[in-house]
Amino acid sequence: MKTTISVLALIVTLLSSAAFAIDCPDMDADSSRIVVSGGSITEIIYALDAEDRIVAADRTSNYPAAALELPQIGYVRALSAEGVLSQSPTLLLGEDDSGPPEILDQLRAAGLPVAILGEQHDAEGIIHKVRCVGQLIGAQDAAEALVADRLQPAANALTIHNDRPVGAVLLGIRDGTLIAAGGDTSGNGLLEMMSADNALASMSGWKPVSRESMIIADPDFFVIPQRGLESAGGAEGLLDHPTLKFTSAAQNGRVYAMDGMAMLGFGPRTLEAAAKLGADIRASQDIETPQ
Amino acid sequence: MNEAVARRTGALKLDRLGRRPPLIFGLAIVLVLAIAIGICIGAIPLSLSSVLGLSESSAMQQTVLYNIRLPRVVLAALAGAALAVSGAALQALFRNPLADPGLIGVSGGAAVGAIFMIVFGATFVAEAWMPYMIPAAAITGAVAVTGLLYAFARWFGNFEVSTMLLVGIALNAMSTVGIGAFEFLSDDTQLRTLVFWTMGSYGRATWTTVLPAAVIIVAAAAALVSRSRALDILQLGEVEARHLSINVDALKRVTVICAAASVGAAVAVSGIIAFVGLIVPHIVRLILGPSNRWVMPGALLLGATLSVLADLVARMVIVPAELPVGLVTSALGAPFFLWLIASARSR
Amino acid sequence: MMIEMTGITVKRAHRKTLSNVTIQLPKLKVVGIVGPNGAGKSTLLHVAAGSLLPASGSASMDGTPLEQLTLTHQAQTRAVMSQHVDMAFPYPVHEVIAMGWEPFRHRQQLSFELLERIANELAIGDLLERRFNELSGGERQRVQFARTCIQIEGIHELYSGGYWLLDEPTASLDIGHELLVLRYLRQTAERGFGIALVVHDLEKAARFCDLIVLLDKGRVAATGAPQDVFTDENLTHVYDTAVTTEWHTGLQRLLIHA
Repeated sequence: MKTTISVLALIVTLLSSAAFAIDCPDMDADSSRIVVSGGSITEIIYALDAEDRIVAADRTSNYPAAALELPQIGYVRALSAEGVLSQSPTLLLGEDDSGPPEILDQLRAAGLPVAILGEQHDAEGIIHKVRCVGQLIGAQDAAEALVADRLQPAANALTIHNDRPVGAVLLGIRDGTLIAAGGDTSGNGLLEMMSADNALASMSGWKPVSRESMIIADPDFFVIPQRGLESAGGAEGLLDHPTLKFTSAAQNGRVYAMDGMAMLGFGPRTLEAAAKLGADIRASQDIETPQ
Repeated sequence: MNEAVARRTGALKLDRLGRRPPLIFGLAIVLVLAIAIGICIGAIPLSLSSVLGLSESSAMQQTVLYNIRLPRVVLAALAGAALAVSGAALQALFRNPLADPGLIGVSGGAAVGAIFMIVFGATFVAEAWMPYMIPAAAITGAVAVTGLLYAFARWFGNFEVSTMLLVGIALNAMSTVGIGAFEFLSDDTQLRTLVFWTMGSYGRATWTTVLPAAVIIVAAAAALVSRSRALDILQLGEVEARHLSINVDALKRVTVICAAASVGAAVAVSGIIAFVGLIVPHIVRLILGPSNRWVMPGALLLGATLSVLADLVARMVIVPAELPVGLVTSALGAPFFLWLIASARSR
Repeated sequence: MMIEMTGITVKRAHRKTLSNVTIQLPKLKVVGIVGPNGAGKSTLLHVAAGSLLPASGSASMDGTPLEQLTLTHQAQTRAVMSQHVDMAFPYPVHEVIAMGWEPFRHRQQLSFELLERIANELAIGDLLERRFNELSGGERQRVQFARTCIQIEGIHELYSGGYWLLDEPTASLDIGHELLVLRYLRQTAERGFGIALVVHDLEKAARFCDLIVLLDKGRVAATGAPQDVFTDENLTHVYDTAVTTEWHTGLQRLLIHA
């Protein structure tokens, strides 16, 4: 039985690696001095044991804790061109939303190889990202090991559920209004990975939600980054918010919080975060076993 | 009586010849120094001799100098000069030392234009053209707002200062609504560009965007400076200025359009940078007196200088990361603004 | 040669501020425009100054309608002093006075000696280096008056004569300075200028004006020499209060009692 599963897992792995849903930049760059823009990539490089090659990182690179000691080059969407170049890098690895575009152009014009990775908000996307980083920094073996040992098993564990609970991912409260994840967001991808449905899938992007829309959508549970929960006044404060008060989730007190980058960064931790959240949510709900 | 006249004549002549030309020259020297410092100091240090070509520099240093540092410092100087001289012109036009390009809705109009292009431009503009279309849209927005301002004032039947200020406040409110609506309609990708654009930074300067802005700013600033004396006469009042042969309607039109164009060009490339148009003319008046023949060129020089220095602070204070330069100017400008109001009221 | 206004009607918010007013302002004469508050005195002056377009009627200067004269020509022929004296920025007094030379700047530079001479004649020579905004109300008015004097000098150099319109030029001045200004106006008239001023003080008007225009609710109640216009009946009717006039033989002046 175990052998069958392993063979199946291998086939799945090979199939995933053969079909890159999004492009991995094709470059043969010196990766001895890497500047990273995007927390998930930093996380991956540490997981591949290649962190000594990182010379600087952006503000979203907050995991593991050691990454906080790295020289800062700005926010992923607002990098400093000279700041990057002053670290004498040989390669810039960036998440999809690295920017602004003019800065990336300036860096390319200065002769720096700039590799921007595509983003796909599902398990396959995470695994692909790991493989891509592995390829770019010449650590393919470590990448495959990471996938096989940790990521693929976690991905497989996600697909065992038959039910589809309905929830919503909240970002937090900004200027008194609640911001939530619509259909094409990282939040939506997280719910999909948990085999859950997004109550707000008809909305596009991270948007403020009205009380009526939230009541109609009526999610059974909420997922929210830890920081967002704290600034909303904890679980009591959040569930007491007028927009959320009358939802099933609020009535039953079903709020699940976790580190923001772990949940939505779509690095290795996100796979594990999805698995944990998926299990927690099902443990605390009355499941009607299908006939 | 004749003796007294003679004595006074001498004293006055001394003041008239003035300390002003040497002071202007001094401001020019300070600007040159500031630019030199701005070019040499940065995350990647460049020595003065290598900048001047007198000593060797690596290929990396040369790229940084020509493609990153130089366009950035030039943009900082141009934007600072544009905002300051527009501020001086608008303060003269409104006969109010607290007038500011932001007040009459010019910056807001530029923001709306640029944001419209960012959110909706992809549907009708090729990706390659976007770096040009966004600034063009910003300038269109700025000029459109000032055109609206003019049309409203005409419709109300007068060009009184209070009318223009009130219409400006209303237009600013409309700009806020427009920006909010576009933000809502934008998808995540677009939102990224939006948010950081409204915080003001010179970091995105490239020659392709700076040179067109430079042409507009230089032309508009020249038009404003040439009207210095007319703007002085305007201080007597619009009716009184007409009695002294000033074509006040034409003066208002040119001032508003040139201020809008130069602010629009600056805002288009660097985002919204607050308070420069307010505080620089005020400081220049303290040094050189209120006569616009000195204040306008003085504002150009001091605005450029302060902008270059603010940018230096913005990119060195948390190196290798950067602060938005708008943050630096606000940190200095906001307290200064409060002091201005306080001292104006106590008079 | 005169400023001529014929059949002038001015409407403001459906009310007629001036109704069918016809007057002339000839050179070499000082005309006093008097009347109760709201009679339309300032309005009439604004029409003559070209800053207000009448709803009907015409205003012309030296035979040419005002609309056909360029701003520059008007500024080089006619000086106007309005009631508005304040400035938002602290210009030095000598710069404010020098602004009066603006219409002539392209022809000739303002001679500083001229500026000082005018300033001394008007007893503001010691204010020249002060900041305008630091002056008292009366001092500001005298500085603005000096500014129009400079413009008059320019007009005189160009055309040997012209027009000078003033809206309550002595409103904030004490007796001494008031007389200084009024005498200056008389002397200027003799140099070839047609002068019209809106004035409240009827006795001063009688003393310094050659002609009086008495306005009442937007209409001309009477025009002519002071002793002809300032009669008991005219003044009592127009000011709606008992007024008597008296010729003081000792002072050789008309006295007005209310």
